[in-house]
Order: sequence, then C-alpha cells, then structure tokens
Amino acid sequence: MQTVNPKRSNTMKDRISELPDEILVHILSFLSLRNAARSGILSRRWRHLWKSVPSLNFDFVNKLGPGRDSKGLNKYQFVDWVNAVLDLYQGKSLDEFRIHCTLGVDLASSIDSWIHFAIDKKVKRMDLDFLTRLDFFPVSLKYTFPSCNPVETVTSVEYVSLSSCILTLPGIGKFRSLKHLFLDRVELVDEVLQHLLSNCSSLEYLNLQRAAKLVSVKVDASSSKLKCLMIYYCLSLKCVDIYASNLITFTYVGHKVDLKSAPSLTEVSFCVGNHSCEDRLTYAGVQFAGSLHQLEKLVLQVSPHEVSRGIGVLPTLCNLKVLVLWVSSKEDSVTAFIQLLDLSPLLRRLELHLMYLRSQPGPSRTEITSESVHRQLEEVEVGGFFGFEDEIQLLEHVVKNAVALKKIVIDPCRKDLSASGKSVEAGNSFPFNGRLQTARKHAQHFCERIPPSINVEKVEAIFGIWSLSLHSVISKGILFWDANDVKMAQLNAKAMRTFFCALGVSENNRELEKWDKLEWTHEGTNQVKESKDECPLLTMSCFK
Amino acid sequence: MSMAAVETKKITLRTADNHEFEVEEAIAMEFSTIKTFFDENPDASEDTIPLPNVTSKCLSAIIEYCKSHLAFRARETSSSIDEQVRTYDEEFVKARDNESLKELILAANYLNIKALLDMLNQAVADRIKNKSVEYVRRFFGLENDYTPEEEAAIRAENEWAFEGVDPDDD
Repeated sequence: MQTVNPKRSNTMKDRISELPDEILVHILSFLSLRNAARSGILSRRWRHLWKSVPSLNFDFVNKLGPGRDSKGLNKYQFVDWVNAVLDLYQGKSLDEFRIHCTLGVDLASSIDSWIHFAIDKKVKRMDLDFLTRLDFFPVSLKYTFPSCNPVETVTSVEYVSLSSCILTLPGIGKFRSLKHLFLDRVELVDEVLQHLLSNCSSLEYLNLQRAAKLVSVKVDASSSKLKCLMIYYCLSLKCVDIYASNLITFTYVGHKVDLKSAPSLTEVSFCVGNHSCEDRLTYAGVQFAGSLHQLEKLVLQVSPHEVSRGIGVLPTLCNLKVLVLWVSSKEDSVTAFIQLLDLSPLLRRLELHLMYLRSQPGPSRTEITSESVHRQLEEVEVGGFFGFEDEIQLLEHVVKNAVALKKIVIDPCRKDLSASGKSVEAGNSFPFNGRLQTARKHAQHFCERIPPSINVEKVEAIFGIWSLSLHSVISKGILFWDANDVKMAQLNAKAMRTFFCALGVSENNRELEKWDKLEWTHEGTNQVKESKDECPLLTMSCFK
Repeated sequence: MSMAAVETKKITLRTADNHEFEVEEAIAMEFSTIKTFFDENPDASEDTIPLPNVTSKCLSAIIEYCKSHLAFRARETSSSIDEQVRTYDEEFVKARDNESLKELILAANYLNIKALLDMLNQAVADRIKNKSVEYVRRFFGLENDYTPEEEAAIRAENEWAFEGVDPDDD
C-alpha cells in the first residue's frame, strides 16, 4: 500500500473531488467495459461509478483483454458474464448496447432478457452480432429476433445493427423511431422487409447484406425519410424498385437485377459481376438515365472495353465530383477510362481499383487521342497498382492534363469489393509478395517523373499480410519484410503482437527498436539470404 | 485582437483571477452556459460576465480551441479537414500535463462546451487505459480507502476485469 503524504494528498484531493460524478462516468465511458470495471477498485467513491456507464459493449473477442486468446472462453461463460454485469448495472439509461458472440437459438431466453433490459433502459443504439458466419451454419439453430416475447412498441431505439440471426414479424416494425438499420446475414423474407419499411417511418438509412432469402425490394413514398439504401450480395434478389422513393444514395453490389431507379439520386454505386451482366456501362446508363445529370458520385464495376462500347450512351455527367471504378478485366488498357474523365468536367476525385492479377504483361502503350483538360481534378487514387504500361500511361495523362491535381495515391495492394473494403492481399499474399516489391519499384520510377508540386503517397501498408497470415508465414521460416516495414509495423501494435507471439518473445520487449534486421533461413537449408536482390523474399538478421 | 468591424459584437468575460477577456460573440456562444444566459437575459450583453470557476490560463486555451474549431467548421467538410481537426486536437492535448487537463475539464464542464469536454475526457481515458490501479490512483490523486477485505471482495466480484494487467508505462 502506498504511503500517503498528507499535505500532498490534500491539494490533489481538492482538485479531483471537484470533478463531479457525471464527468468521471463520462471518462469511464471511453474505456472498454473491462477497464471501466477495474476502476471500482480505485477508491470508495469509484466503487459503483462504472456501473452507470452509458454504453455496454460485450465483445466475446475483447473480453479477455489484449494479448490473450479467446479459445478458452466458451459461450456459457460469456452469457454468465453479461448476466452478472447487467445485474450490477445502475445507470438509468443506456446509449449503446452491444453484443458480439457466437450465440444461437439455444440461448434465446438469455438473449431476449438482454434485449428487454436494454429497451427498458431506453437504449438508443443496439448492435447484436451473433457471429454465425459460416454459410453452412444451420438456419434452424439461429436466434430469431426477438424470440419468444413479442416486443411492445419501442420509441427510444434509433440505430440497430443485427448480424447472423433470423428476423420475423413483427420484429423491428415495432421500433418506431428507428433511423439507421444495418442487417448482415439476417434471414428475412420480402414480407418482413416490407412490414419494416412501412412501420419504421423515420428510417433514413438501410443497409442489407447477404439477406439470402430476399427476392424483391420495394421502397416507395411511405418510406419518405429513407435517404440511403445499400444492398450487398443478396443473391436471390430478382428486382429492386425504388422508383417512387426519395432516395439520394443507392448502392448495389451483387448479381444483375431488374431495377426501377429513383429520380432523386445523387450518389449511385452499381457493381455487378460481368458473368451476370455484360456491357455494364450501357446497362447502368440506361437504368440511371433519369439521374445521370445530377449525380455527384458514381461507383461502377466495369472493364475498359465496356467503357469504350457504352460511352456513346452517356450524356455529360455535369455534376459528377467523385468517380470510383472497380476493374476486373485483364485484357484491355485502362486508358479507355479517360473517356469517362472527359465526360465529367467537374470531377474532383478519381479512384481506380484494379482487382485482377495479370500474369502476362498487359496491353502495350495505346494511342490516347483525348486532349481535354481536367480543370477540377484534384485527387487520384490507384489501388492494385502494378506498373503495367497502361496504368503508367493513364497516370501520365492525368498528370499532364489535370491542371489542378494535388494528390496521387498509389497502392499496390488490391482491395475487395465489399462494404469493408478490406485489402485482398491479406489472404493470398504469400506467392504475390514478389509482385508487391516490383510494384513498388515501378511506383518509384513513376514518381521520379512527377513535378514536385503534386503530393504523391506511395502506400506502404502490407499489414493485411501481417495480421492474418503471419503465423503460417513465420512457421515456414520465411518472412517478407524490409526495414521500412519494420518502422511501419511499430505503428501497428496488433500486428506486432502477433509477430511477437510467433517469435515467442514477450510483448513488452522494447528491444525491437534495436533490431536492425531479422535473419531467417530457408526451410530445409542453412543458407542465409541477405541481399534483397537475390530473391523476392526479403530476409533480415536479428540481434537482441 | 483585431480591430473588428462595427457589426461583430464583443462579450467581456472576467476570470477567477480577475483577468478580463474580450471575445467575439460567435465564440462566446460556443459556451452553452453563456448562450443560455443570454437567451434568458437578452439585455445583459453589455455587461461583463464573471467566471469565478475558470482561471485565465484555462480560458485563453479554451478560447483558442473554440476559435480554431469554428474556423475548421467554416470550411467545406472533407477528409483532409477531418485530419487537420484530429491533428489539432492531438496537439492541444499532447503537451498538457494531467493537472492542466483536469483544470480544462472542469472549465469545459462549467462552461458547458460539449465537443471540448468529449475530446478532453477521451484524452484522459486514453491516458489511463490499460494502466495499473496504482497508476490511475496516482493520476487522480486518490487514496485507497478500502480495507483489504473490501478490496478482495471487489476483485472477486469482478474477476473478469482484473485479469491480465499490463505493466505501467512510466
């Protein structure tokens, strides 16, 4: 026990005793539940403060704190934990209630009681993720929201996020003040969705992901406040009718559907794989014909070849400020996209995401006939950059013709077309790391030719590789690093932790700063590789 | 202080240590306490407002903060503005020791400036996150007034929270 200097403690105490309880609770609300609960031990005054924090976040993964692995914790322990905390809870109202844990219908009564608890406390945000991610998890074992006891009309809840469960009537229709709804891997049928739309008249934002049973989505004037609709990978969906709605933003990613578009849209994302729809630019041009002149942001999945074919259909996109293109074709030159730039005089930002891998060299330099100046273009980003001729040509054209250009971002990692935009390099980086090195070299060469007034960011991040595949990589004794990556890694604590665990070194070993290089031998040989140029697998030597 | 145009009204504030600050009306309105006062007493705008709970050091920092954030808000929203705001907030907090952070929190609470209060409280939370109990006690200048039995009881009651403490940074 520390000895207390009476004089010192008086002034300190005066100070801190001035901070009222609400402020202390507010501070605690920025901590994880675990940290907040620990504050109970500080002093008598603090014993119960944490029990009034306005947000309760029960996360299976985070329960044990940093650096521990959650394999030992089973879901019954999780349920006990939640019940224990809810019993202790003293707050009068809740801002946020969050549960993230693999839970199914067998624990329905517990889950129901938690939901009722939260609603009684007039919760504003509910985030329930039951984590049954596997597609073959039997539907019959999933929790139905809300299960046994029907929910009375609820007026406090404004934000709901549900994942991996089943939604039936009347379900969310009772949440009359709902503004934001996010559904991922939730089983619901058309009737339930329509009921929801007509009863939640305050709904402003709806995001539907992987709702496998939906066949048709219709939004009409009864959802008068709905401004944003996003639909991802609802693979049974056949038609979407938003014609009578007031939607401003519409995002659709999945198979081709029958679409009746809204006239009020200013932001459209329409990404359809080309096996279900050829000639996507023409298709999009026709579907959104009524909104093209007012569009401010357009996201399309398209190939250069389709752009050349469909460009004649499009009018001038006179309000377009942001253009994002996802490109999955391997064959044609990306310089064809310049035609889209020419159609968008007010364009400020261009993003190009190259999702493919070309194994052979791409198309050679093509003739660019466009000479138009892009007066407003300020930012260009290229993801999945490799340095093929056509990519370089496109960038050169932009540098030459975009007089207002301020920033170029070049990222050799590919992203995937999902809501989270995660880097695709994470999963299959192993054979492709040589590619990343080459891409960086090409980016470097290109950057040397750019005038200094333009700020170029070469994205160094390879942390997708780190956090997911590091274990398997290290166990093979091969590491893909260079000195720059080590420095960047020091900023990414989570990746470092994984790295340390794999090396069997204590997390708190500050020695890393002294580590210049890490040395690994190839599996099966004692050969130590040192020079970068010898092989694409960079090696480093390590000393403590 | 600029030689303002006739239109911009100035409000005078007097701190606990008897310094007077003249601020533009727009900034004074960021202080919800003052805004409410003026809403209820529209004729009082000529008077000096006493702030007995705020020192001049705090007030000048707070005025700087509000001025900068007003300027940020006047510009068009974009990701680069957001980043500038973040950097500004980080810098604002970084150099301050725990004492002055607490003083600022008290002042922001008294003046009822929600955004500043959120930001400062988050900063304090970041400073005590994952720290040992002793560190946090030192931070807040707290005495442990539990008996050993009580302390053991609390640890047992919330066993899940006391696993895996990280060593102190300092």
